[in-house]
Amino acid sequence: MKNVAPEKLLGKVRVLRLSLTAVLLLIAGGAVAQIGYLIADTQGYGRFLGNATGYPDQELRTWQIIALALTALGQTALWAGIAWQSRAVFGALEQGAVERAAQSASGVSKTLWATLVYSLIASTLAVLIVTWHFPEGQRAFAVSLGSAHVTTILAALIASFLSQALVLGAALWRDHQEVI
Amino acid sequence: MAIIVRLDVVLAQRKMTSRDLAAQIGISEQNLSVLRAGRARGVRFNTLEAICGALGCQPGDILEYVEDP
Repeated sequence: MKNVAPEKLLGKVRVLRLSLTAVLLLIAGGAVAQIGYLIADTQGYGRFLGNATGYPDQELRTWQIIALALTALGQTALWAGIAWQSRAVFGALEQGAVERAAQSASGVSKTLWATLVYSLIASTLAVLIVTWHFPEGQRAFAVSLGSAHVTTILAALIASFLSQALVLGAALWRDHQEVI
Repeated sequence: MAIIVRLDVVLAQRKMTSRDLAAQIGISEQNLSVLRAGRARGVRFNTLEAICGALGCQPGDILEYVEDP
C-alpha cells in the first residue's frame, strides 16, 4: 500500500489555496479595471465590449454600455465566487475539516452550473443589447454554445464528482478516527 | 454492545496504569480511554497485538462477547 506523507499533501493544498487567492485577486483586479475603464472612457469601453460581442466599431448608447458592463461584471462575479469557494475547499482541507471541504466543493459545482447557465443567457443578452439601436429587422438574438461552455460543463461535472468523493472521504475519515 | 472491553480488569491485574500502557504501545491516552470505555467503533489488529504484547495476555482476555438480553 502506498504510504502518503500528510506533510507533502498539506504543502500542495497550501500552494493550491494560495494560487486560488492569487486568481481571486486577479479577478477582483479585472473587475476594478473594467469599472475604471467604464468611468474613464465610457465610449471606448463600449467599443471594447462591442468588439468582444462580435460587433466591432459600434457607437453604443450609454445605457447599452452600462447594461453590457453589468452583464460582464455578473460573469466576473460568478468566476470570483468559484475562485472563493475553491479556495474554501483547500482552506478546509488544510485545517483537516473534510466535511466542510465537501460542502464547499458542492458549492463550487453549483456555482459552475450557474455560471454555465448565466454565460448562455449573458451572451444572448449581450448580442441583443449591442444590436438594440439597429433598425427594425436588423436586431439580433443569438444563442451560442462554444468550447468554453463545454469546458465549464466538464469542470462542473468534475466538481460534482469531487464533492461526492469528499463526502465519501469525510465518512471514511470519521470511521478511521473511530477505529483505534 | 455485545463486545465488552475488559482492558481495565487486565490493567488492574498487571498493576499497570493506562498512561504507562499508552506510552508503551505508542497510542494517545485519549484513544486508549475511548477503547477502555468501549466507545471505539473498532480495534486495529496492530493495536490489539501491541496491547497483548505489553500486557502479556490474549485478545480474549481483553475482549469478551456478551449476548444481548
